[in-house]
Amino acid sequence: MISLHGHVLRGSLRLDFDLDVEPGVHYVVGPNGAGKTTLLRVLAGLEALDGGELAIDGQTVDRPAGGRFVAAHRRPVAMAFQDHRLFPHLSVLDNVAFPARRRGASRHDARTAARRHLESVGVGDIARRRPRELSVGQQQRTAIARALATPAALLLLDEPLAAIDDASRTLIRSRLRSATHPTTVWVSHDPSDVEAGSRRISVEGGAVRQTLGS
Amino acid sequence: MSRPALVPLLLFLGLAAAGCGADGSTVVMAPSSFTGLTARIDAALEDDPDWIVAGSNRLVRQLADGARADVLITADETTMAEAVAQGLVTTEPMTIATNRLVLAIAPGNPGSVTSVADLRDERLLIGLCSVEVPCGRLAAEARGRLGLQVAADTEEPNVRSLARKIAAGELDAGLIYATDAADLGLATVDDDVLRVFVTDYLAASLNGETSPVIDFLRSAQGRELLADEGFVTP
Amino acid sequence: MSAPPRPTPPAIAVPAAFAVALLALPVVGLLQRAPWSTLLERLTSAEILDAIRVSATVSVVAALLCLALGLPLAWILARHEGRTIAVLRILVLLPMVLPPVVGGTALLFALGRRGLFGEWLDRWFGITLPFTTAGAVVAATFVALPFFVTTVESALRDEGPALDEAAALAGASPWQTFVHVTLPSLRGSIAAGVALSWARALGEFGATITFAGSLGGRTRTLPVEAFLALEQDPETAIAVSVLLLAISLSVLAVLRGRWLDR
Repeated sequence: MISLHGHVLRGSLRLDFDLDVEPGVHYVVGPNGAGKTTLLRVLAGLEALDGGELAIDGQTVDRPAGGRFVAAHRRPVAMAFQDHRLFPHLSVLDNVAFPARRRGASRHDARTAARRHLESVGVGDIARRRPRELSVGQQQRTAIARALATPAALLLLDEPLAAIDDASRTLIRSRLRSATHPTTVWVSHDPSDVEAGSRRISVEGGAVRQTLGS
Repeated sequence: MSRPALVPLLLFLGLAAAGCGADGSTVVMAPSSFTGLTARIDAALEDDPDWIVAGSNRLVRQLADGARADVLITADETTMAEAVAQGLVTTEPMTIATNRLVLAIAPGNPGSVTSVADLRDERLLIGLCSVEVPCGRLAAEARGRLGLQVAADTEEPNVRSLARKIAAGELDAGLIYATDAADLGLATVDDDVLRVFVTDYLAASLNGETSPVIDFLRSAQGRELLADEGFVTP
Repeated sequence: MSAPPRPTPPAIAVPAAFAVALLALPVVGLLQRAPWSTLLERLTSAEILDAIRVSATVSVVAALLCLALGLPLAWILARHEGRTIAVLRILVLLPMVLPPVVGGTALLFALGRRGLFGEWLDRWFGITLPFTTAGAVVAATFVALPFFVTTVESALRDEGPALDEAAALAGASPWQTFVHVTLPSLRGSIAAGVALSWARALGEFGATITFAGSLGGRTRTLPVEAFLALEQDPETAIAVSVLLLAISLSVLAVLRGRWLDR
């Protein structure tokens, strides 16, 4: 359960949030530049609210009035970035093993789990490669696998299928929908990502709020 | 770049432009130990010469490499002999002054130095001139003839930098010229054994003409000025 | 796959050729005056061997200090904004602009036995830096530090916060991010910074002779040796210069091959 009520200011622009997000998959829709990515960054702790409050599972993580701000790495949040952001010095396998390693898992255990995550998005065969040796689609799948390998209450996905070829979209889409993270917030501009009757968050005209699926 | 930041830049360029022009005056090459003298000689002469002050060897090498100057003054005979041997000099070099080696001590004498024998003390910070330069050669001669072990902590490239480090209190004592000690107001240890270690300053013209600067340094007024700076004059 | 040859416009080629000439001609000049027949003999004299030892110690320790002190500073400069940071950034460049002799004098005023802070070092800890190998290291680090900091800072800035954010969202603390992401992903730039600062430290002369003086086996580095030799024995000075050139070229070439290739 995520509750976000407040606003951020960006120059003369203002984005108002009015959200209570239940567990499940939520699609974020809206025109380009409206602030979809900003919503994810606020949830992740990469940007701070200028007013209001954000609570994740009952714990306040951002409340400027109370001087409270929980840094990104302490929030129960995982994220797949639109621009992938793989660690260039690590192999694909170690990129995906990174979250478990930082949580104290042994190298062997972290890699075993990472291999499973890579296979689940159809790229078990590229584990030993470096990010610069990958196609854009392979990079995106690796970024998705890394997010899936990060245990968290909230999974943030920023256009996760943008670089995935049509043939593989169905596989990745269903894999993301069955993520073990209780809540998923999924930014997409592709209507076919969005399940019929699903819950949606619309970002438009400076307002971020829930809308009913159609 | 912001506009206020341009002000020093413009000032710099303006000064650089103003610095050009003044040319045609006599150029005198003088050893480091003349540093304190140049302004006083300028004041006594009608036409101020331009001074190039550096270690004597360096001056001779600059001349050999094509530097233009009218007068050369060296801090010892060896270096002048080299200039003569290279055919750089057009008049017979003349002795204009004599300098002598002194044991200078830092202000307040923190090392309690009272004689040249103290130069053996490992606990003191002692400076010498490097043996490659005249004051270092003179000090080496003194060490050899007196059988003196010096626990040196540095061998400086010229007498001026050595004298300044003593004056700043970074060194406790060092063997420098009487003139540099006088110029920086450094106290010296009266040790008679050092009195015999002297070096002659020679001057020669480089352009075939007699120089008013050399004439002045040999005049009564010039000798007085040299004596005032700690030189012994002929 | 290779790119087709592209013609270089004369307006670019001509000034570039002048730049190459300016860089190469002094090297040629040095090499043609080098006393090749007696080179080995000159370079293996006791004084020169001492100077090689001092130079090796001083330049390597200075480069390591640049790494240990400069890396955190570069990180702070790259990751923060504001007036203090702007002032710090100018401060970092000062040793590049300051004539090294002036830098050495300033070091004496600050850390000399009678200097502002050196007096306390002397009184409380019995540490006097001038005229010691440690003092030569301080002088070399002072002049070399900007080369390391600016190299690594600009690499950090180019990389931006993207990887830091990705690491944070994978649960890495800022320190874990620094150790496991920033350091290894920047190792090429860090190696370049170490190489540059080492080369600068190896060639350092003015600040060293002013702050640390010159004593064989203790503070007389190869450049100081070359400077003093110029007074009486220019051939040895040239031999030392050739040696400095050879050492720095070979080390930089090896580094380039291993890490600096992009």
